[in-house]
Amino acid sequence: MTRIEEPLDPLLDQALEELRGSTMPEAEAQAAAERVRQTVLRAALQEQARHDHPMAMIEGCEDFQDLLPSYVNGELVGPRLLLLEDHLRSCIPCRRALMEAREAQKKSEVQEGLGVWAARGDTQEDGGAPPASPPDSPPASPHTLAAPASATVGASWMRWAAAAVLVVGLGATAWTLIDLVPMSWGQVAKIQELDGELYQVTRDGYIHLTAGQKIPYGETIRTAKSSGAIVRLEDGTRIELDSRAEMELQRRRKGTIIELGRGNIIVEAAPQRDGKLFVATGDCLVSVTGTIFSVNSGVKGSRVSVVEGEVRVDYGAREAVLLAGQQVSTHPSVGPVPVAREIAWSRNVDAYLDLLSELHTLRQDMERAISDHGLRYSTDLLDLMPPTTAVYASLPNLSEGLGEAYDLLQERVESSPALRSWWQETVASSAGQPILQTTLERLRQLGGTLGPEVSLAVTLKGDGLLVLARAVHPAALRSLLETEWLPVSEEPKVMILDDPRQSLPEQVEDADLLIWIHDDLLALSSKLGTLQQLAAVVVDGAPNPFATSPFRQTLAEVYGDGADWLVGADMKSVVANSRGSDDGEEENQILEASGILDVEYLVLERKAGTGSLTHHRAVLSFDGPRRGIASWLAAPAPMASLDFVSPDAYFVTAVLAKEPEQLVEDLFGLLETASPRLRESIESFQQEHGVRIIEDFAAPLGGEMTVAIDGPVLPTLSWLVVLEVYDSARLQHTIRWLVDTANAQASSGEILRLEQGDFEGRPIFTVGTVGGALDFQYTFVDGYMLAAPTRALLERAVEFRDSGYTLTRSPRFAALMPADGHANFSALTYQNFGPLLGPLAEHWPGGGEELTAEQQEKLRDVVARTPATLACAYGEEERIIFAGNSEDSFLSGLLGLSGALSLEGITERIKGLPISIHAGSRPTA
Amino acid sequence: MDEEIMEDPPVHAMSRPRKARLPAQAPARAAEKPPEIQAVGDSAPDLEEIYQQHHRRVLNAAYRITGNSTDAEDVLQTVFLRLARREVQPGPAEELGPYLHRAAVNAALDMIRSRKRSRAVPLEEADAGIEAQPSAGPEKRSQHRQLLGALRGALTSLSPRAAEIFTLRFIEGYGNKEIALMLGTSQTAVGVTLHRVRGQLRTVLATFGGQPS
Repeated sequence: MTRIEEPLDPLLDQALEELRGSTMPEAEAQAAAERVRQTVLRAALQEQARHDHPMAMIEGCEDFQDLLPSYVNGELVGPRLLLLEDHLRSCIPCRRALMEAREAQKKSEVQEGLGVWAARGDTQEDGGAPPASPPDSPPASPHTLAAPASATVGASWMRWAAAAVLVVGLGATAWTLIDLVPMSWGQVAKIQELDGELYQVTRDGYIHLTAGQKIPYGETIRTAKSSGAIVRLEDGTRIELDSRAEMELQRRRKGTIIELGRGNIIVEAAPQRDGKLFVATGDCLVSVTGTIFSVNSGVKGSRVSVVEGEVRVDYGAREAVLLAGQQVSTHPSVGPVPVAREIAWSRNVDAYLDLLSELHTLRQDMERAISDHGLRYSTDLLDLMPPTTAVYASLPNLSEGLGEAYDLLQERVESSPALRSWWQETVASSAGQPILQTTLERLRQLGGTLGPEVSLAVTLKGDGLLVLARAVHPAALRSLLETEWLPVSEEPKVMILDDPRQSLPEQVEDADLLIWIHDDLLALSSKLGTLQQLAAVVVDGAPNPFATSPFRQTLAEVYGDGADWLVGADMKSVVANSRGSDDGEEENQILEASGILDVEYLVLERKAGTGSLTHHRAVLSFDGPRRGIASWLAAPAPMASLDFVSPDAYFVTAVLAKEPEQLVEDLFGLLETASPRLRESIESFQQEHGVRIIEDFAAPLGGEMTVAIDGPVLPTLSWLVVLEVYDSARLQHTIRWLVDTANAQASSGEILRLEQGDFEGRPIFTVGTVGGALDFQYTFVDGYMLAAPTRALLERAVEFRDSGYTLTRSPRFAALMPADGHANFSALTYQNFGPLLGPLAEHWPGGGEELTAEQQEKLRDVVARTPATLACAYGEEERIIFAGNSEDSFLSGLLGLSGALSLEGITERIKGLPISIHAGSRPTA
Repeated sequence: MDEEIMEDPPVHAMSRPRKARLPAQAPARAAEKPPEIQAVGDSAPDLEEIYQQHHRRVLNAAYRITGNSTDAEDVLQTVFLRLARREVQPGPAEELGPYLHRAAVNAALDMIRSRKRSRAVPLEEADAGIEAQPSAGPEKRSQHRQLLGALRGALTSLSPRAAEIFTLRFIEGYGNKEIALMLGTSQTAVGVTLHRVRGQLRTVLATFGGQPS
């Protein structure tokens, strides 16, 4: 490291020299030293006093809040500081109190600033802001104010200037603070009903309140034992208080806050015009825009239950979005109870229960109506597909379910008074409602005439597309097409054929789409020939080669397990068709060598799973044992590298590769096809540098690798790479060789460095570029090499592994694992970006200034719903299976049902669907 | 605030005889004029002694780094308040000097970092180091000012540890070995950090290299 001792660049040297030489003017230094001395000695006295008279134990929020002023002043130290900070993390009222304490501090600083500035205006020329010294520092002692004679002339106008600046500054501060300041002027709530006794709690005791009386915001009210009350806010929101409940109302710019000190309340929130309605308890914050819910805040924790609508609950570091009938507790000791029981004390219990049960059933029924099209275990459409079918898709007829769901909704709304008022208030008034109705009506008309399945074939060699469905009411279908749909369809031109075999190509050349209805079979195609072929099979009983093809066999197997959404592709035909004769011999060779050409079929499936899960599955099958690139994925086996990943990881991908040596060999082989001299150049490179690529790089590796984003992404991305290593000494040797070689070859001297340190008894290595841009650390732990940008991340990874609390054992991950016969994976990719995107939404590039509050809110809302997903792969002898689950049900997502029966949402989404005659059978596509 | 402070000592003075040396002259209401606090109690004399012995070193280091008197005073106060409030336990007397020096460097670096964040005082303007060369012409002084501003700005862009090591080495003049001891690390690590920082600073200051001086 002799280089360090070399002189720095002249410019830097010069700057440093000047810094070293700069000294504080003696007079200033003496004055400052004396001021600080006074402050320091005073603090020492106080500390001594504190030490002699230690404060009482911290027993609750009040004690914590007593500490806030000294915390804000930066005076709180030691265990109390730790306790308070820990408590603040989980206690919302104390956080709020902290916010207020900070504001108070800010204001007093501004006021102090006025004095200090006025005083300093005479002496200070650097225009510095008032120092951030604790408020217990004494005002500047008289001799600091001993202004130089020359400055006194300007003293008076400078005071005025300072005052003017302050007025402007205070105005600006007030504007930014306004959000936090209670805006309770003129706001009142009224006691609508009172049963028993209700008090206003004041400093001096209780004030009895009576029905009809007004309660100012900012006052605490409390119900007595066996009492109950209903408080009505100006916006129409009703708050029902159970006995021994205590709350305080506050109005802020963000909305109305109900501070629930304790007890049980039910809130019927009126739609909030601007802002939201919040209920804050000691351990959670509930936010709504208009809905009915109950909050029960007790000694053990809080429980929030929703009767109607959607409620968002933030508690601890978590948050939940609850829908009607759902519940959340802030502490495990507060167990769930039926929502009906939770609200049983209410005087409106009957109405709430009606609404609750109606909405709950309705939601279930609608979900069922839409998703309960059942799996299809057989099909007769598959055997009618053209021989040249390359891609086959089979979709459920969803239009019926959609229509049914809407019927159900209408019916329930008609018959239930509880629902009717909800419907009138929330849905019927919305603009999208009529569009929703007509759209659904048209959809179900067509869908209603069709059977449960719509199948589609994409053919090769110019046979076009063929769509098949069974009609349950062929006559109705025909008349519907002829009377309702055809006349309105200008584009595309549609022609209904009686018998394709009788039609001549000239007769149909104008038509874009041909429809043939034969008995109960509906066929759509753009090509007459395709329909003629079909007719030959259906009417004349001609043999269909496709019915006996292996592709058909593969697809039929899927039906054996039940098909929902199914897409299959005959990859051999697709690849053969896409490769023209003029493709180079070389390219063919590469493809051949890669083993990719062995892919026979690709089958994709999607099925509704249990709960809100959706299963996805893709099978890539080969016409023999996998080889080349396709064989790199090893058979499923345990992956211990995943044990280094925490349950909170945002993204993880892990893979088990076949023998790394074989992998490199394959790669060389592949490249050799493209460049026959490659082997020679590799050989000469190895000779020249004294390295064996396969032996030195690939051989030490075990083939298992995990890459994760596990920790904060800012300021440095917390990545973690875990590699299985069989021979760490050799790999280390190789890495050192690489660094040395890179440095030896670099023209500008050393560019990489490799240093060794100690990591709990193991060696830890730091690799970095000399500029410091690409530093990372790695170590070897139990046959694995762990690399991460910081040592802390490595420590964390090892801790997680040792604790056994890892990603693969977390409930969230377990819930996403696909249920199948495999115990292990060959590869997997997991993402849970929701929690990561939440904070990012607040720190949007540009400091959040480019997004309005509303946009930020929306963004947060969207990201909060970003579901976690897991996709995994199994390498089998002749096929690779990809399987995965996602948390959001596709249909629910499509229809907005996850958003609490938000009909407006449904309308918006339906409007986006391609609905026209030729698309009649693919409303679900 | 002052009132509370004033009132506290007499109470203890009454309840604890050994505090009799507390300033009896401290008036109960003396908002205008802060009292002269004398060295009192068990720890205060030590502190007073420590203060007298080390404050100049702390203040000077703080001034070199922050480049202005106000910030240097704040740093001095921060460093000694920590001692006064027993947030840190001073070790043996021979270690206290370097400890306080290092604390001053860190507090000063924190200060310029927070200044940079809040932009309350542009670093270039806050600089008073130029007064070291009063004879220089206005243009030259402006360049010096900019150069020092750029250097301080560059320090804030380093990691806190790197900035600390660099400052101790090149502004406060410690050797690699001493720094390694102070920071509980190896000389090599110090060397490596300095090496890296040098590259970074060179890049930042390169913008000045093109200008005729």
